[in-house]
Amino acid sequence: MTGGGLFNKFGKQYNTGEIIFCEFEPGNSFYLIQTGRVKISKVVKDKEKTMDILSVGDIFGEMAILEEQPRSATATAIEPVTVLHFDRDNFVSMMMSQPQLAFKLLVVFSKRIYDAKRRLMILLLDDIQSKISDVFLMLAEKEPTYAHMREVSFPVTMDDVANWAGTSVDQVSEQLNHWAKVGKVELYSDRIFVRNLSDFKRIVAQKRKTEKR
Amino acid sequence: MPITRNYSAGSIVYFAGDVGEDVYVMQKGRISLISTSLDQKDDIKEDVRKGEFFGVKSALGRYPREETAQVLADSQVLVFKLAEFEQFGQKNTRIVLQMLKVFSSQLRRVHKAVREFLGEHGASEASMELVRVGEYYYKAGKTDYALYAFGAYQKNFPAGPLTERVRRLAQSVKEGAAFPIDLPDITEEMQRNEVAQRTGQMMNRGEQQPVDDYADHADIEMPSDAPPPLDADMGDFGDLPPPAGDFDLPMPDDFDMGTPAKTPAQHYSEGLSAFANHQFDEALSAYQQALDGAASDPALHEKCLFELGRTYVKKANAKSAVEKFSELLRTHTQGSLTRKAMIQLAEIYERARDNARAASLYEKASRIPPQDKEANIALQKANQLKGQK
Repeated sequence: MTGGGLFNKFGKQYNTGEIIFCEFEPGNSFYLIQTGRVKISKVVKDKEKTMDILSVGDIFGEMAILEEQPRSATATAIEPVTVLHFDRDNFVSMMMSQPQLAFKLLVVFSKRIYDAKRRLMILLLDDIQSKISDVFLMLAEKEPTYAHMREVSFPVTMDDVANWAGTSVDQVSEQLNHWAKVGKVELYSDRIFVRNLSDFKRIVAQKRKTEKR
Repeated sequence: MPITRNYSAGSIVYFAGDVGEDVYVMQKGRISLISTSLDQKDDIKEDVRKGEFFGVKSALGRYPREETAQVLADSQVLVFKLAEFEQFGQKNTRIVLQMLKVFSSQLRRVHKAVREFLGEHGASEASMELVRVGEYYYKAGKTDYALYAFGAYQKNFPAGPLTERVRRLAQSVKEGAAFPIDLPDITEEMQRNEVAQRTGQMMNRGEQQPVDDYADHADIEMPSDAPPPLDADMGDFGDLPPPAGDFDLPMPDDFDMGTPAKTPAQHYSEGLSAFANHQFDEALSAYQQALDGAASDPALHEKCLFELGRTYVKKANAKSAVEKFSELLRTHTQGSLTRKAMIQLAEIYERARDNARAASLYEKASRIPPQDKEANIALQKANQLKGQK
């Protein structure tokens, strides 16, 4: 995927520290990294949070070809970066000439569909206990090594949990503090330790069962 | 090479929750995919058509199968290992593109559902968040990023309600000045200018040169380290260009040439300014004048009633507030503020500890579409109050 001609047509270069696109900016192209690394970050509650560091062969900004939504995060070059960038117009011709890229995008979309569905499942639960429980189950699913563990230390904050659960931090903090009191969880500034994931599994399974028609 | 595998009727190819890396193609027989709807309430059954792939998403995304593949009649399938499927994909880009099309429409649908649930960020809300991100970068000393965000706003929303704020911020970054401390609260400024734009009483734009000059002077004359006015977050008009009358008038600076008869929209806009400055009596009188002239403009009529109600709430005159909101509900049963008025009324009753009435209003409000955050909050409130009875 080095093709000089391709780069001349769709290539772009960024210097260290340069911004590629900004959170909430409208945009319609997506990017494939050819060299260098790119930081994906978001401003959450007056703090910049790094969501991901991407490198050669990774794609980002891909949602832009699907829907006219503003960027959900900021992308910056953390070292000199070259990218190929595509938009809806050159998308199909690009994919036809770059089969690996089409396949890569298929993999990314598969993951995104699951993540979004999983998120929606959490949001659709209607009580705070099962919402929070399901957030931890979802986080455990993402990390296959957690799946069969009883005790897990999650590198997340209450803000993160509230964000996933689509509720206020106050509500989350109230519930988690209650659980901390009865020994189900331990709360630290940068992580949350869950004593027994199967407790949470039971809460959610019970809830889903009663909701089923 | 993919292999052919036979399944007899009644067997299972995989269960929901299984982890597997195989991708299947239906060749002959009958296989049904059984999944649960996203809200977990319904089972969905779908037959796989001949030649159709299944098990692709979970294999590629490496997550548990979401559906059970049940064999209804003796069947034959082609089984790809993940690596084989990838090779196949490289040579059959058209099939991959077909799948991309299906996946992207699914992704769009789920994303939309999530957004609707969380309360859709409208385009204008997103534009405000863009400015907010720029302001964060400014305060954090990342001035390049701040300028990028402000530039993106100016490029994409050249006539947006925050144009003046962004212009001033960008200039201030370029001058190397500290973050201005006398900026009004961004949400308030946004709402005020949006309303002003909608009612035709536009804040001046960059293109209107004379007024812009005035604004520049105002910037220079006001030292940036001056103490913020008492009501800094309620809207400080000091450094905004003054309202310029109807924007289609050729002379943008006729604001100081006496006061010709005002339109209802202008009265309304004056009401908003007075309200923002906590001059509630002036606001009431301006809204009332606007209301009196708004008989032929239902949207303005509705807004006036709403703002009158809100102003009475501020004046702690619950009786008059209830009257105005009730009048709005009677005269605008499906207006753009119907739900908001209901929620305001519910809040008044809630404060008066009339939980029954408050709960019923919250519930009513929650049933008005769209099913967004506001509706969800209203429903939560209703349930909460019912619990207290």
